[in-house]
Formats: sequence, C-alpha cells, structure tokens
Amino acid sequence: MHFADGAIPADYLGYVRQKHLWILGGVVLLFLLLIVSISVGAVSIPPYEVFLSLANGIGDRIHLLLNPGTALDPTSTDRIVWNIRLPQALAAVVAGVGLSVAGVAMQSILRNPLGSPFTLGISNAGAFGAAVSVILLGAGTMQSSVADAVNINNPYLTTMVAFFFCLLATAVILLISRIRGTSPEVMVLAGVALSSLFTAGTMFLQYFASDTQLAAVVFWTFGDVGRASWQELGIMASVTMAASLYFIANRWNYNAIDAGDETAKGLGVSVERVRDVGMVVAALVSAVIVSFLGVIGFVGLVCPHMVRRLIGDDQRYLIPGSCVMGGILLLASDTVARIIVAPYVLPVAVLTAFLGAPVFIYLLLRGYRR
Amino acid sequence: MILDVDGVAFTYRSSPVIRDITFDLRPHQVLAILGPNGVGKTTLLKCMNAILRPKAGSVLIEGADLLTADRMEIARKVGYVPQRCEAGRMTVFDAVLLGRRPHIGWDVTEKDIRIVEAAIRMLHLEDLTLRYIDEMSGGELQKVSIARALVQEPRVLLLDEPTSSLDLKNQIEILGIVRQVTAEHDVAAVMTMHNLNMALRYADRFILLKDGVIHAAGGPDVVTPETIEAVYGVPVTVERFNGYRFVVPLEPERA
Repeated sequence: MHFADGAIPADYLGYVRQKHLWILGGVVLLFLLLIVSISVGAVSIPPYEVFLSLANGIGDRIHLLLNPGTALDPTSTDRIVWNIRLPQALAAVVAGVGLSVAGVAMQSILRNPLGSPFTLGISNAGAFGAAVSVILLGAGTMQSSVADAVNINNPYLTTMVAFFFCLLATAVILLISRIRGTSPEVMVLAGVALSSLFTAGTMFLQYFASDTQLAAVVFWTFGDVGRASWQELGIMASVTMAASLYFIANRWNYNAIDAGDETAKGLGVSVERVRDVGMVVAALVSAVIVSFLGVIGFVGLVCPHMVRRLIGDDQRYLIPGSCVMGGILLLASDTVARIIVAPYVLPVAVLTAFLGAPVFIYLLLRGYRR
Repeated sequence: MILDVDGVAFTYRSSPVIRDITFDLRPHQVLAILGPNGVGKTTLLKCMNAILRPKAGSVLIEGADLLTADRMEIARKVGYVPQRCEAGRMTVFDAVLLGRRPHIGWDVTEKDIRIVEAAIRMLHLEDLTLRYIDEMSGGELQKVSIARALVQEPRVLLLDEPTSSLDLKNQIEILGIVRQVTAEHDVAAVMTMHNLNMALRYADRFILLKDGVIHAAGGPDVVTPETIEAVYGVPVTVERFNGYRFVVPLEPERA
C-alpha cells in the first residue's frame, strides 16, 4: 500500500487532546471531592486542614517506614481523617472505579447496553453467600452498638462465603459458554437464570431464618463503603487496579469487538478468548467488592453510559473515563449518604440510584455531546 | 501468485458446505465469487482468512501457509470487510485507525496516524474525518470499512457483498475504489456478489459456485447463459455493450 504521503492532521490531535482533558478534569474533580468528602461529617474539618493532614500524614508514614523505631504522633484531626474518613472515602473511590470498569467491560463483552458487573448474577450470588454464612453457618447476631444496629460477628466468614458463591456463579457461566460457545446471548441469559436461582435460594433461607439472622442478611446486602478497613481496602485496591490495567491494555480489542465480531476477527482479535477472560476479570473485581462491601447497584451500569454521553464510545477514553466517573459518583453518593440524615449515616447503596438516576435520565434526554 | 487456495473444504455440523475449492490469484486481480444464496460464498470468504477453519485444503498468501499462522499475523496479510459492521459513537478517523490493530503494540504511533490520514484521503473521506460513524449513511460507512481494511496493509482484500445495501452511485463508487486500489497496489481482491452486471463491470476473474463446488471459473467469458442458468436456475441472455458483458434475465416460460 502506498501510504507514505500521510500527514498528521492537527484537528485530530486537537480532538484527542480534548478527550484527555475531559479525563484529566475528572481526576481533578475526584481529588477535590475527596477533600470535601473527608471534611464534612459529625465533626467538620475545614478542607485546608484536611489537605494538610493528608500531606503531613503521608510524609510521616514515609518517615516511619524509613525509621522503624519512631512512632506517629497524630492529632485528633489526624485520627478522624486517617482512621475514619479516609478509608471510607478511598473505599468509595476504589469500589466506584472497580464496579464502573467492570460495567464498561461487560457492556462491550456482552454487546448489551444493560451489561453491568451484576449481569452474570454476581450480586445475587454474593447475597446468597451472605445468607448461607449468617443463617446456616451462624455468623450473624444482632447487637446494639453506636455505629450499627446490626453486627455480623464473623465478617470474614461472611466475606469468604459470599466470595465463594460469586466465583461459583462465574464458573457456571464460563462452563456454559465453553459448552455452547461464547456468545453474548448465552452469557446474558445464563446470568439471568443464575440470578433467579440465587434469589430463590436466598428467599428460601430467609423464610426459615430468625428475626436476628434475617436482619443481619438484609443489612449485609445494603452495600456500605464504611465497612472497609485499611487491609481490606488494600485488597480491593490491588484487584481493582489490576483489572483496570487489564481492561485498558485490551482497549483496542474491545473497540474491535464493538465494531462487530467479524470485523474484530478480521483484525486479528481472538474474540472468544477476549470475551472469556474479560468476563472472568470483571466478575472477579465485582466479587471482591461485593464480598467486602455488600451490593452497590447502579454505579457499574450507569457510569459507563454517562461517560459515553460525554466523550463517546471509543474504549481508549471510555475505560479510563468510566474509572474516574465511577469514583466520582460513588464518593459523591457516600458523602451525601453520610450527611443527609445526620446524625444517622445511610449505607451508600441507598443513595447511588437516588443521585445517579436523575443525572442519567438528564443525560439520556440530552443525547450525545457534539 | 499472491493467493493460492487449494482443495479447501468446510463442513458445518457434519454436512459439507463447500468442498474442493481450488483457485489462485495474481496481484492486481479482482475476483468475484458468484452463486445463489446459501451456496457457500461467504463461507468460502471466511475460510480464506481463517474466521472459519477449513476442514481440508490450504490457503497460501505469497507461498506462506495462512491456516497455521496466528490471528494477528493473518490480519497483517488479509483485510476483511464484512457485510455489515456496527457503528458506535466513534469518529471516522478512530474507526479507520482501528484497522491498525494488527500493527499496534501498546499505543498508536505517528506512523499509524500518517497511514490512516493517507487512507482517508485515498477514499475521499477527509471532510468527514471527525464525524461520528453512527451519524453516517450506509455508503459512507462502507467506505470507512474499506479504509479500515486498507490500513491493515494487507496483500489480499476480502469483501463480503460490498454493495448489497447501497444505491447505484455508491455501488459504482465502492467498486471503483476496489478496482483502483488493486490496480495501483500489489494486492488482489476477492468479493462475493449478487449483482452479476456490476461483477462483470468491475471484476476480471470469476468463480461460479454451485452446490458447494466450483461450477465454472475463469475470465468474463465463463459468464455465459448456460453457466448462469445452471447455477441460478434462471434463463438469461448475455449481451455485449461497450465491450462489457451484460446479463439480462429472460421472461420465464409461462406454464
């Protein structure tokens, strides 16, 4: 082919720069939101002090790492920031990023705008796992404490059983797609079937549960980012980061699949393998988040569509854009959830749809940005 | 020879679709695969870039076996334009840039962008560069599809009914592009077609498929009333005008 005379079109470079600016703007917004989110609450901390506490805290911790003998000397502000609000805010960001990136991948893999991290039955499988752990394995009790009305007295057991059932659901769908061939229709329909199955299982267990157990199970399913400790946050962050990197590395493959399976195959993409691996990665990241935090709906479905309306379907921008948007939406929801009915703190799952649905409907009505 | 297809057969659920397909093609040639619906034209096309794996036979591009190569390697040798492609919210430039997929490592290079720009100009799409493909007409979209296959820098272009849903002007434009690209570059093109007159006007080699095997193959002279009636079951006459052959269906005999 004679393509030697090609030039680099300036307007295209401008177009690309504009996309990058959108994503960069989102990152800046997310950071500002993080400061605001940490500053508001029962004890109000001015944003500037939050910033100082974060900056100093990071410096002190690096110092501590380099000089193991010394100790931290936190002020009360530092304690609130570092022990309570920062882990919760970061958990919201990580969960938002993870669910949103899993959602954007599922929409491409399943060739379906309704694709979400939960399409394959992950959330219902997780809830069933929690029910099994609480009702059959006795992990739940009701306790009166300041923080929560209900405590699950063995959270690790619940997390592990929930995670196990999430993976079980994924394995079943993978097995089905191995037998019937990896087609989006088969995956979606198998996911619907599994969801119903696990819902029925959960209902069955709940029917025979005591009041306490029932409350514990229902409480578990309300996704709440306040549950995460630093250690759990670390696990979620590593999985989310690895998954995001995997999806970003495959952005061209997803673009090709979006153009049609045959086009993608003609471009050298092993469509079935990209689908299978992508599905497992998306399921894994959703399973980790659901197991630690409970079910947080809507973010994974809607964030990718919000980003599509803003910067289009090109996966090169859509995947990182969805990551940022997921972090923003869940962090904003959690911030509102913490202050809207103060002194009570709502679990974030209650708020995501309340906050996201109007924005989403507005974007749907407005259509694409030119 | 740029393309050697030797004894290719494909079986779907143990019933043979095509068998014993053997032909070859030189650079600058445009081959039209003709035949009725369901005879295996598209199957044959897909066997030629291993989207479908032939059950027997071999496909060689410049002497190198295609069927043992990996997908990316195939995509650097064979460009495939499917009958239809999905149009998302993507600019023309990015949609064409996707054709560089088999050459892209982690990210697009300046070279990729230059090639795409040149291909867009070759197909006269430069005014549409930043238009979104979900706002485009069928003819424009087909050109984007062809540009995408061209920037793969393939040796062989495969086109599955490239004009099936286009108006007359777009049919002429698309087939003219295929003709021109193959004339000016060291490539060959294979397309499946329904419109016999368009095929006779723009292709120089012909294969007529009947019941999954080659019924006739060669230059325009293989398109005769006898072969057409044998393959399509329709009585026709073949007329000449300005040096081109034209197939005109005859009134079917009234029963």
